[in-house]
Amino acid sequence: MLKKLKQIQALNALAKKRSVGMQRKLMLYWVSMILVIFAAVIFLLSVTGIFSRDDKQFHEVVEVHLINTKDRLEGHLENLTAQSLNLSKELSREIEETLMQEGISMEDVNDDPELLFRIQEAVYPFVRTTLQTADCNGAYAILNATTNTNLDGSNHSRSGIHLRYSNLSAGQPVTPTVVYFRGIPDIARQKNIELHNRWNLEFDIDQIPGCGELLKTSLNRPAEGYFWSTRIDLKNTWESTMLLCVPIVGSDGTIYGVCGVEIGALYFQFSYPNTEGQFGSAVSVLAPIKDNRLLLSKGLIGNVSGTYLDASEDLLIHQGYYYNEYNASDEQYIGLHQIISISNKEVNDTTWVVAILMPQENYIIYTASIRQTWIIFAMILFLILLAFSFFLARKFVKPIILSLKRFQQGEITEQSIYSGISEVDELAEFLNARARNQRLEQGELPPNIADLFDQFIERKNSLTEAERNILRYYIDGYEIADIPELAFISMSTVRKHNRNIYDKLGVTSRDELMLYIDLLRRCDRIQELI
Amino acid sequence: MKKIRIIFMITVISFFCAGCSNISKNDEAPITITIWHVYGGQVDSPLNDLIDQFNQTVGKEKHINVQVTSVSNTNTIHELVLASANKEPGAPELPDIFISYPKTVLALPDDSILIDYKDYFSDDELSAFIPVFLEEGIVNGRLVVLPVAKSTEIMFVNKTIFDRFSQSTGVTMDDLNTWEGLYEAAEIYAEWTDAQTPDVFGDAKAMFVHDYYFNYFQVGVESTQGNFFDGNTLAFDPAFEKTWELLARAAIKGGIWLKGGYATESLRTGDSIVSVASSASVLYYSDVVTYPDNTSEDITIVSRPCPVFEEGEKMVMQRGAGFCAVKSTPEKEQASITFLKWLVEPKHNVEFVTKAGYMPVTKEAFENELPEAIKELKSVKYSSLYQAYMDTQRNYKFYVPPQLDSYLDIEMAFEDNVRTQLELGRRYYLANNKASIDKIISDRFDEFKEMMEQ
Repeated sequence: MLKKLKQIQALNALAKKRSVGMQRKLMLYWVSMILVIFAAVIFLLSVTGIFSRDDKQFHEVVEVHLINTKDRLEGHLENLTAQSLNLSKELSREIEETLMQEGISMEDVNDDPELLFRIQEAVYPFVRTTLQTADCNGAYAILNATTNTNLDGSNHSRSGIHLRYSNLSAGQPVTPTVVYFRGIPDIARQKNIELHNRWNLEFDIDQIPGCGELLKTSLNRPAEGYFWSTRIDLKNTWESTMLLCVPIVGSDGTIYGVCGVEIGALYFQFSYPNTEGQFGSAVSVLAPIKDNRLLLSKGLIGNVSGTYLDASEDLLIHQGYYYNEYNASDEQYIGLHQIISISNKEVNDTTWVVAILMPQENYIIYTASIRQTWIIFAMILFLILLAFSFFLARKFVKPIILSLKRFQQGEITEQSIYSGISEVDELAEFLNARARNQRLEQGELPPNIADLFDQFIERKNSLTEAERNILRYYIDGYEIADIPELAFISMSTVRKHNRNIYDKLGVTSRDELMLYIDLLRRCDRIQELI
Repeated sequence: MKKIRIIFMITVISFFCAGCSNISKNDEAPITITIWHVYGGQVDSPLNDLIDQFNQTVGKEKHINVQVTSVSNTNTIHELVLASANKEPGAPELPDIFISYPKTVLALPDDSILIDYKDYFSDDELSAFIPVFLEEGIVNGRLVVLPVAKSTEIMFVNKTIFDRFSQSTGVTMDDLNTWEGLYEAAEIYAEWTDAQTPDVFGDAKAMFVHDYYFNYFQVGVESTQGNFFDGNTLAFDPAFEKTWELLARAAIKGGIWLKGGYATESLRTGDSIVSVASSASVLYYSDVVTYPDNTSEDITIVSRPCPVFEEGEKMVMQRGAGFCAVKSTPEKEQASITFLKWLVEPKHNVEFVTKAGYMPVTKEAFENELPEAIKELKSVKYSSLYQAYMDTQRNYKFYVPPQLDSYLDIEMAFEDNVRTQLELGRRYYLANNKASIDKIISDRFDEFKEMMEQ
């Protein structure tokens, strides 16, 4: 790094030594100034939040969406919980009545298929009513008893009824088809309902996280121990679901079983459609969060139209200022989440969140169009400023260069070096004066005097031979009175020639003529006059 | 000056490229198409697996996302489609692709809402299909039902329990080749099971269950030179009476399962051990039977060709619906077609049908891909199924039901009435202390006929 810095310094020093054109240098200053102004503007825009306006807007939109979804979900789950608590109370009463009639405890129901049939028969209408009235796709009741305790796995096999809808479609079907997923088949035949393709006589409670523990506890009221299970795959089917587990509590605190409703992945998908907005498709999610990961594989996701969101993936969360990033293996999503409390007694201290997710790609596309407008605008402005600075630099430098050229060509008259820039003109004047002084020091005539002499010498060519003769007598130092005798002409003729000489040489008197002659003699130019 | 111009041009172009490179990504938002199908019902769906495969490969490349929004049965989908098409309150929106028999299309108020596949498939592409499968999908001159998998009726036998029954009574699997033999075996099975609990009267177990008795009668009558339909109603000719008599006798004696639901249900609970159902139901047969005391037994299911009448033609029902695609935007229509073309490619088609218990729909798939795929099948249930398929293909004539507007109504009424009357017959038989069976059979037939003619 230090080496590179030194190299740059060396280059800079070299550049400084090199002679650069005035216009180029001026352009460089202009461009530097423009860039500084640009940087300042960008800094100001950043500080005032212009560039993060989309992020802020995105945040606001998603936040509103999140609040609405959370409200809706809380209401939905609360209703289901209330209905399941009610189901629990009714089932508790029914089971207790049967047990009292028989004079037995719940434990004695084990290995008694007939009694289990009777209890299931009594339980069936309540489960069916709950399914029909609740906003769910399945309802169930597990009894804390099994048909055959001698079987392997009987410790996690429990008798009960599980009814589900099979013809799920968008919206609540008016005439839903109910299938019998778990329970004694004779009841299904009695009620004329189809057995599920993967029907089983009993529940495997090991498949429902937390259910086994719930059956072993002792509670006073069902509301003390209800919870939502994480999403479980329904064995040998393509469906997965979340079950609300509410204990069926006897008057003595005995747990008779567990009952509740289910929200399947498909049902949730229909119930929580995606929303298409300016930022793309927004998907609602209800899922646990653990170790900074959104566990979609254990939660439910709404309609995923317009995205590739995969319900089997867990998303790594990167917290952001305006929004969070949720990274899947090959897709990125952005959005927000909020903690939601859905259970009274969470299994394994699960923290549930409601999240709104959108594909990051869509957001990038949206912001890219705005960024493009900014870029084009900035570019046009930059180019205009560049052209303007070029024009100004050129205009500024042009007269200076012209003056310099004239200097070089020796055209150093006062008028020709006028540049309109006082410092340059002063410099030119200074240089002129200095050059003049130098010439004078070297014995040169000032240029205007020399001109005067030149013109005077030039004018002598217009003299006639006789006039030139008389001029020569003057140059030789003779007076007017000496001329008639020397030239053998009359005084009046001399006077006539004199007038002509004065006129032609541009002098008004003999003294002036003699002054020229004297000066020319001093300048060693008298020969040019002869 | 020239240099300045070049720099200027490069700057302008690069600025525009910076903008355009992002705009072009707009096309990457996937087009989502929805689908209702029947392949898999409530179990692991082989089509859903194929759809996942499509979404991850071609779908990702062409920005198409196929989303399954219902896996049900054809009757439920029929009802939903009609409700949607008629815009009934509460009806769901039609998906982009749904499974359908021609009967559903015929019942639509306006079938022009469906794509004519001839607009999207070239003649060459269409000629790759097995012609009879394609013909079934033509309604009012338009190809609106695209075959993706075809099935037929197959007999499934719980071999584990049947072997015990066979050892004890001498009835063999070959006896099940004809309806006459099968019903006789069912009567023997009823007596055999009844005899196992002599203290309980009339607790005979049914040996046989048919998924659709309507199909049994239809094919039975047609295969014995009778006419099942007379226009839009049933003909009830002598051939019908004979098929009734055979079934009714076995049913009244307790050898036939008459309760509602699919044939797979009673085999799963051990209430019956032989069924005739769509070959596609192989997916739903469990390899375990669960008894009322929660004990279970591992069983082997084997498949055989459908029984025939001794004096009848070897005929079997051709089944298997196809996909209808709903008209929408050109992009969505194209996306639907892209998916369907991918699905009927021999490789994918065979992968799908061999998991779901169907036959492929193109000649190339049938001739080249299927035999190879069958060799790879490890499950007895599936390998025997495809063996039965081959037998059926070689020796049977396929019966295609007529396209009648009233077909579904007749089918549903028939199915209910036949079960009700035969169940009543069984009750009267037991109430009469197993006497007057011929009269009961005849009375129930008259009652049934009267109900169907109402």
